[in-house]
Amino acid sequence: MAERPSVKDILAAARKGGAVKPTDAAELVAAPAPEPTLEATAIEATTVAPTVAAVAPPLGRPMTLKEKLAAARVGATPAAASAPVAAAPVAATASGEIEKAVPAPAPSLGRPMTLKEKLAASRGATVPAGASVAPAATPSAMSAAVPKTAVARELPPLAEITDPKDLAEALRQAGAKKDREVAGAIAKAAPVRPGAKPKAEAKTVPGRPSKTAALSESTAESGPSRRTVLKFPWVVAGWASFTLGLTAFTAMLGRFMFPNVLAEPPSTVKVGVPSDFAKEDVSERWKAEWGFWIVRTERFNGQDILFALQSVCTHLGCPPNWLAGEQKFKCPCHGSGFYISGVNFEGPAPRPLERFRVAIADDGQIIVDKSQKFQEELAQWTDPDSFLAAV
Amino acid sequence: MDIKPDLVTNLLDVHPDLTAGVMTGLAWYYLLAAMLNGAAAAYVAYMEMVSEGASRQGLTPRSRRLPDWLMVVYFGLYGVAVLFILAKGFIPKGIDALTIAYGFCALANVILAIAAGADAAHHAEVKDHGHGVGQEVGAPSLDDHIPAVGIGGPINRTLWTLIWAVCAVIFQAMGFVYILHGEYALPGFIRNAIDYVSGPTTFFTGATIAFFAMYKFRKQFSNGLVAWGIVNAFLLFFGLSMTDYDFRDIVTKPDNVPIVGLIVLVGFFTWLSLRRAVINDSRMALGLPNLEELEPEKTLTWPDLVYTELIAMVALTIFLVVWAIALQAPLEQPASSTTAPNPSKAPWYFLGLQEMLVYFDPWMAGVVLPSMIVVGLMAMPYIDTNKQGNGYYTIAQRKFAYLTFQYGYLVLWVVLILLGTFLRGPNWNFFGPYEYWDVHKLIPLNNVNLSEIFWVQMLGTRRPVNILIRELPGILVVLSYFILLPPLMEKFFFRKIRLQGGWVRYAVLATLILFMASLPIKMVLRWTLNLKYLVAIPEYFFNI
Repeated sequence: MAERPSVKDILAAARKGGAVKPTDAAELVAAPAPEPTLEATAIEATTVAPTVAAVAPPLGRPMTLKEKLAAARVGATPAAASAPVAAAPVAATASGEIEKAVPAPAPSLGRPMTLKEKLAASRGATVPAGASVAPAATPSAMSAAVPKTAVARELPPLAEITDPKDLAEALRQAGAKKDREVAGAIAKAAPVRPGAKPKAEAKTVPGRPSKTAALSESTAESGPSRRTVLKFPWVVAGWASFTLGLTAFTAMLGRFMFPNVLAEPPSTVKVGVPSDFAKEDVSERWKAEWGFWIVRTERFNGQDILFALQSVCTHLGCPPNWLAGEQKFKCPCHGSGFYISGVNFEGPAPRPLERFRVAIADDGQIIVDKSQKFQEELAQWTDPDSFLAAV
Repeated sequence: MDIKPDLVTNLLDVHPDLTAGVMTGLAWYYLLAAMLNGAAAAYVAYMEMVSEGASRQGLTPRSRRLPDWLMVVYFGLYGVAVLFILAKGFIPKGIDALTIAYGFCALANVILAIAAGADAAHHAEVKDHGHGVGQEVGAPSLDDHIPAVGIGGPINRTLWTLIWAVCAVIFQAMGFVYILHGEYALPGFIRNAIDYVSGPTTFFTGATIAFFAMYKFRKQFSNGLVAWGIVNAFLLFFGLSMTDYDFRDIVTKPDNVPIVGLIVLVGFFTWLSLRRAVINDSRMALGLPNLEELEPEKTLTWPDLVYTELIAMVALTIFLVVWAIALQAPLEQPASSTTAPNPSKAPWYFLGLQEMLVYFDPWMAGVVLPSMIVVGLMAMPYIDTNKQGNGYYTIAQRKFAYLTFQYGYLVLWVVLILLGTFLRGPNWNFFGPYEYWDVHKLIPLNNVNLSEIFWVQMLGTRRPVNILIRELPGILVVLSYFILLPPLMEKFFFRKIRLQGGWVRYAVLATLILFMASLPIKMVLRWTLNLKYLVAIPEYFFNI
């Protein structure tokens, strides 16, 4: 019993343009229960195989789609007569019909197949079909299931054919013959691969193409070298323009990051004369629009001072609320609390609220400048610009 | 004009505990509870009780059949009820069709419960007189249900039929009280007591204890009867709590309804996986194949899985559409950079993060710890060298993985979501489930940094001016936490894991565990020592 080809091997085979050697596919179908009857079908399958196997030898390059199709057609020929289904239906019905298609295991096991067995059987049949780039294997799997009549039948000479089906068949055979000849010629021309060890022969899947062989082939060709390609002016021009375009696009993208119009509100506002503010009070009039409170308190350093406190929590930037009853600022997001002086005392806020710059304007009003901030932890609250002496 | 004082308070009461609508809702809620318990009673009495894996071992065959007349009466009564509801428009005024329909439904529930209970009792009596299924006394008879391996001893079907039947009747009676406008609310002293004991500390600690109790007593917990008892307790608790205005207000917010569903779903699936793990562990201890091995049949992606997914997709879409129509979108005030709703809550799935932010600096709780969660989840397959538990439920073979993950998920994430959803009120204060959300609730939370505790409170000096010296105690604590603990943990707990996976894997694991543990540790420090930050360098926005 042949080793089951791994997915990698199948893909490699498909990439090479050949197929998993049909013999294996046939054996795989037989694999679940190696009964004599099945052996027979497997042998029948192998009789079909050589026609396909001829295509399989490495061409020294990937097969073109045309060649692959041709290979598929060659393989399909015998099966086509009795089972003109394409690969797709096989794949679609594999799970259900494989049981019928492989009649041997059921009686021999004396019980219905388990799902595992079914899957194994269907995998044997569908894997080559599933790797549809190499559908050549499908027919062999099919022929393992179908009776002997699958072998190609004789067609009348081309001129005498009346049935369009036969005509198509004849054309297909002619095309396949031609493809075989071409493939054979190429195979002959290809050098013997040094990497082909006997072990690889025994393997179910054609071995990997040797790197050295591939290299020697490519150098044997007299194509343009990299240097000549670079010198080719159009290529240079193309790359240059691509680079230019990319640069321009990046620049535009960078520009896009910046707004066209920057509506910068004035950073200063007049909030009234100092005597407007009561002792130990927080004025919330400017919170909604300007984002600060005017606080007058003695509780920071014992002096009666006025300052503008930014209404942004120093934890994560939520706007706290002034709770007059508790005489504290309290943040609704994570519960940070601040004294009336703005100093943090509860919750996660790591530092006091920030002050804005305050000054007395010419008309005696307090002017708040939001462009300058004062932070307590940086010892900036001692700055005379950060507060006003209350009147 | 003479106005009764209590009437005035009733009129002025903007937070009524019971209204007509609430009582009707509760009546139907208890009808549902009675229906579920009636069904449970009938299930225990009449059904083939095939527990997981028991179809191969310990199958209890059907010893009695569900009488046909019972089914006819049950569904007939429900049919009559539906007819009354449909014909509501044609029924003359003065007759409340809904109440009549309710009566028929309730009758059906009670008949089912009583018939099942009576039948079970009668059967037990017959059996005791030797006319029953016939087995020697003492041995489990066909009338005893033998649960799956690992889920305790034989279950007396008669007894448990009767218990659930009684539960059904009680729930139905409670429903009747409400449909007949009996004002029955949860007593105030119970509410106050619950409010009194609830706080973030008790809630979180209780959740942790409950989690480990669930783990420790998982055999009992995975028993279907115990689980159903817990469901009943939850139904009763929820029904009684709904008589409280504040509880109702929070629970029925369109934002919070999904969280109620989350409790049910997370609870059910946690229980289900735990139960299967318990059964598997017991089976494997006996050398039996686990449940998953008993069901080797795989199904095909097409059509089985795809069809199931399609049906689930359609059903879920319908459900979401109905939900979207039934519950209004919880829209709030227009966004503003200077005002925020109080409390400001993140989307429900981020409430765990928001709770973390209460204990950590934003860069820690908002950046480092979430990144650690994501990275840790990704690192799991590379750290985990335990190959057991692949493809089947188990706890015994993966104790560490189970405990760590479930603690992180259930307690540090889901429980924190619940806490954030239901128990965090204005100013992010903690409120008991029945407590009015008072904006002015005063909870003193004077927090201090470790440097303050060390230099000022312990040494009685001023804090040094140099930042590094000032924060030295905290820095040492944090460094030793991350440097000294891993070798210690290795020595005492994780020797096996280190030997299996090597030092690199162990180092990653230890780091992740320490980061995970930092959350509960910080919580406990906050609650006990009022500790704000271990290392507090606000000058450079660095606080731990």
